[in-house]
Amino acid sequence: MNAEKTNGQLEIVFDKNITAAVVEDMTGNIKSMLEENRDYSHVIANFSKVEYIDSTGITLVIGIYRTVKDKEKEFSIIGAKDEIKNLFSIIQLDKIFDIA
Amino acid sequence: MIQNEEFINEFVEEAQSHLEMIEAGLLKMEEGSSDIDNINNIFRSIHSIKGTAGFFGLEKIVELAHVMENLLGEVRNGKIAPNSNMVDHLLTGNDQLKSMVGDVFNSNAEDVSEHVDIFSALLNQEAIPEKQTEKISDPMPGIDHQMFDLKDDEKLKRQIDEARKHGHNLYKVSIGINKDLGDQNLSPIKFFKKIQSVGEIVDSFIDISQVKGLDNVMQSDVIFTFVFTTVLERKLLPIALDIQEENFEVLETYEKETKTADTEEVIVSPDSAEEDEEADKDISSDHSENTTKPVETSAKKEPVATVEDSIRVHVTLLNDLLNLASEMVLGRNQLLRNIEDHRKEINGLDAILQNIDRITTELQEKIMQTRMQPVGNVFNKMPRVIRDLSKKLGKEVDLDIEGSHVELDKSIIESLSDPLTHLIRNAVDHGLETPNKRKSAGKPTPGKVMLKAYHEGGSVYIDIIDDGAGIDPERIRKKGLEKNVVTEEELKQMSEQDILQLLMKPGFSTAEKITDVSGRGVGMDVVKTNIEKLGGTIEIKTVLGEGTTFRMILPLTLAIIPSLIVEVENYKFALPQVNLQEMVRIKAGDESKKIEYVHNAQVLRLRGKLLPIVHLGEVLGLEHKETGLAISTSEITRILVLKVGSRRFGLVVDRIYDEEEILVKPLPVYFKSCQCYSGVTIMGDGKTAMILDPDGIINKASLRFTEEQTQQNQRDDLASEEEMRELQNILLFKCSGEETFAIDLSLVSRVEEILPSQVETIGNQEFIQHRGEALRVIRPENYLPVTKKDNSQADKLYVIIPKLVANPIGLIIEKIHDTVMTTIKLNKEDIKGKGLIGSTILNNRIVLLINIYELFEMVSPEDYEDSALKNQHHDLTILLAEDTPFFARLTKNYLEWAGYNVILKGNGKEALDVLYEKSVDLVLSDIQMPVMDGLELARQIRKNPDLAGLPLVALTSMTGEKDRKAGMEAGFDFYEFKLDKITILEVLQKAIRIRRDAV
Repeated sequence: MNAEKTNGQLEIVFDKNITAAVVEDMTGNIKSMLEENRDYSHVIANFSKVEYIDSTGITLVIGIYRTVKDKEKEFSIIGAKDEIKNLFSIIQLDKIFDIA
Repeated sequence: MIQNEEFINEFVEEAQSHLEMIEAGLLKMEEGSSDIDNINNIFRSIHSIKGTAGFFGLEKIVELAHVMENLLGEVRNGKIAPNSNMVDHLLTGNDQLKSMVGDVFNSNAEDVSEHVDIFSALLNQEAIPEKQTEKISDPMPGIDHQMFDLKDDEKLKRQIDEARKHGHNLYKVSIGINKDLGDQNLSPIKFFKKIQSVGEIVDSFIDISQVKGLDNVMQSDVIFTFVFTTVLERKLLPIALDIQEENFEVLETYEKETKTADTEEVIVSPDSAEEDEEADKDISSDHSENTTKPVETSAKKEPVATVEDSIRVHVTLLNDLLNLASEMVLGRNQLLRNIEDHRKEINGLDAILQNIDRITTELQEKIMQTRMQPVGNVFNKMPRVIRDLSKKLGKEVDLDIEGSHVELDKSIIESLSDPLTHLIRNAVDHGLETPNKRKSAGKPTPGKVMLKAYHEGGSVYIDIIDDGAGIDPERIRKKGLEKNVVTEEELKQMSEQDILQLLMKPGFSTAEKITDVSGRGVGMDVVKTNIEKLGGTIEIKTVLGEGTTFRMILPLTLAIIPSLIVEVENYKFALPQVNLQEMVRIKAGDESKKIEYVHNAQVLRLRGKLLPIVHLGEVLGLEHKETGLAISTSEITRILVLKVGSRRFGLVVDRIYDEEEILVKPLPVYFKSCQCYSGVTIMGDGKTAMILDPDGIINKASLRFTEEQTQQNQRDDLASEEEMRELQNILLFKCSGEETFAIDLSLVSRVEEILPSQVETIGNQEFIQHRGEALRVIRPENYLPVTKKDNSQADKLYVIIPKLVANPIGLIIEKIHDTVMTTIKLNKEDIKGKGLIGSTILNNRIVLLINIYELFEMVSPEDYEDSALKNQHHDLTILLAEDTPFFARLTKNYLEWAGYNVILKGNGKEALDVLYEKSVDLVLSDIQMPVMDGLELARQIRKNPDLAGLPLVALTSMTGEKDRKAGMEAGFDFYEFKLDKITILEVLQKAIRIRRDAV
């Protein structure tokens, strides 16, 4: 998992499936990424390598959104696979933040 | 720009089928289905049109398809709820696309800006109110509990009502995504897929308030609540979805809880609102990109799946194939006819010919099959027609469609669209009453129109049924006179059916006012002409106050039809067998059937009924003699009884030949005005013959059918029973050839099913094991003058085991059609041949009756030619009284074979009359006969001193002991079962001997 910042956009690339087993590690990673790049205005989660996400994974995504939102910054997801996009649209997450 | 015409044509075909799909899908959508698959399909189709059109540079098509796609995309994503107004516009847009695709080369000149504006407006207008609602709820901080208006309330309610109507249950399910899915090791993706597969989510909200941020991800849960409809019962729900009882509740009804949103308003922050709004904009602008991806992938997948088992072939190629195959059939027929006499001369030729014969037939059948299409292709267009009409006319209409799978030849399907549309329009416009009228008549307000296709006989029937007011014949009568379609004089002679048929005369319209629905210049007369062009007929049935049925009767295919070849004035004509009911031969002086005059027209009195008669030669202008003269001078008159719709008439011809499968070729243009012909064909001998059109002949001869006759026709079946005729139980079957055979069931002991492998060949004879003994079996087609196939493909066979014959031989047959109870009327003018009694017409087919004795004699002369039974001197005369033509012919046949002279009479009275005038040596009489039965005949004979000494033998199918006693008491010497030929011949000899000895 790595992060890249361009013009205030912080893109976090998820390099594996987001499941309960890895969420705790990821949470730590993301927290430090956000710490290191405090001056971001927009966090983009790149999902193009994510094939699967479980319940804890969903909670993690919401967690990131809340953290970013609390700082009054923006959050969106890009590169999501159809299946995941479909899931997010069923549970209406696509109404909360942008998913592409 | 446009590169290659061939590719373009392919695009047109493809686009047209997409447009059909879109239309069907839109109609479904309007009915309230928010089925995601349906919307996806519509979306995919329009996208595909856009894509290909773009490739060809068809800019206007692309432009229109693009805005439609955008709108549909929003619908698909649940951003805009479809409503009737939107569907209207989409349908109009679809129509516009249709016309542009239809005229693809000029499509770029079309102006689509109006449509584009409408769709853009729809897109924005629908999007604006949604944003507004979010604006109201958005200026709230925190967004702890989010609620979204997915669909507007009305739509939601309709959806739920619809679901309820179909027996769906309504549940509200609330789950913690971690507690109820994660902790149970359930995949959320799979879980929601499952939900979507068993039901439909109609509303939902997500509560993310527990998740405060990254710090408590592992400890918090996300609550997702949704309302969904499914057919699943309450008991099954937890099992099906892997959820707990406490997670769901059953709802009776559901309305959006707007209150919840209100209570949460307080905590939403204003700044996040802006972001959300922006995010929303992003979604709508990005979405066209989003959606193209799945579309492309699925479009790529589809052809891969279908390529393997089907290919596109151009119709002209199929037409050519069909034509060639038909020519091949003719060629075969000519070959067979010409080589018939030389068959035996060249070794092995017979087998080759049969092989060619079989393959040609199969080839032709298969090619015909390729042209068959389900009638659903036309039916599918009708919901749209109904929808438009019901809006325009303000009539609520339910359309029921049945039998969409029934197949017809492509050319028929194509020509069916216009007449069908017209009839449907008619049903809604004229047939169904206005809602007010329906209410006062005590009918449910929504009118019902039913479209039904089914097979009957060799034809396909399509019924268009409405439950409207029905047609008042009185009104038609008046209108007919007003419009000068008919005269007072003509009306008097018309039956009700004839009057209804007036509807389909040119210049007739029953609507009080000509609406723009029906007044399009296409009248019922055009419908009728179109149907008739297809070789079909149209019938009308109506009950005042209850509704009307229009019935189209169509042939399966236009190309090849069974026909009967007839001759008049040395010209041969082909008559379609569908219309043929029976053949009648009239001998001068025959009282039971004769030609009479009614209203100056010739009629045939047939079994008490009057049939109008037409002389073919006269109608066609071939005959120059006086008609009356023609009948009285010729000894024998041959009349074909034809039925067109419910009308029957007799057609007089000079000669009747074989039946023949003919290839129908359309009439050359310069013959079109000859209404008596429906086409032309080339016969087996290579000569051409015109195909007669019985309906045209009726019109040309201006035949009138009386009410009495139509009613009589309907009572046909009853009447024949009243005539006290003995009904025969007939088994209909087929051997390897084309002919249908019949055998009287009383001659059959049993029918066994066997496998072809069970037939063993010993020497040149075939046997099967039957009840532990070897039973000789034969294939009747090898002995009879009929067609056969050498290497039959049948995987099972049947053996008919006859009874009452001295040395039973089984008959191998391939297919059992049916058993029917009927009175057989033998055709006198007939297909004759050794082993056949004759032919008759059952269920519109020519059926050959097998003479089992003759057949067995041919098979095994040594066993059946019992010369001892023959009367060598040819000087004995037997009076045979028998009313059933079948048995009469059978019995006469073997009596003559045995060397007796036979006088045949149809009842006891006629037989008695003969006895007063002639001397005979023996009386052989049936018991059950009309006018005077056999028992009475015997009593009369025994009473008369001159006749008392006559040998009397009863021949009956009533074999009970009581019957036998009654017979003997009445004075019979012997009482024998009808069908036991050998015994009867023996008994005859005995009876003659006894009486002689007594003298």
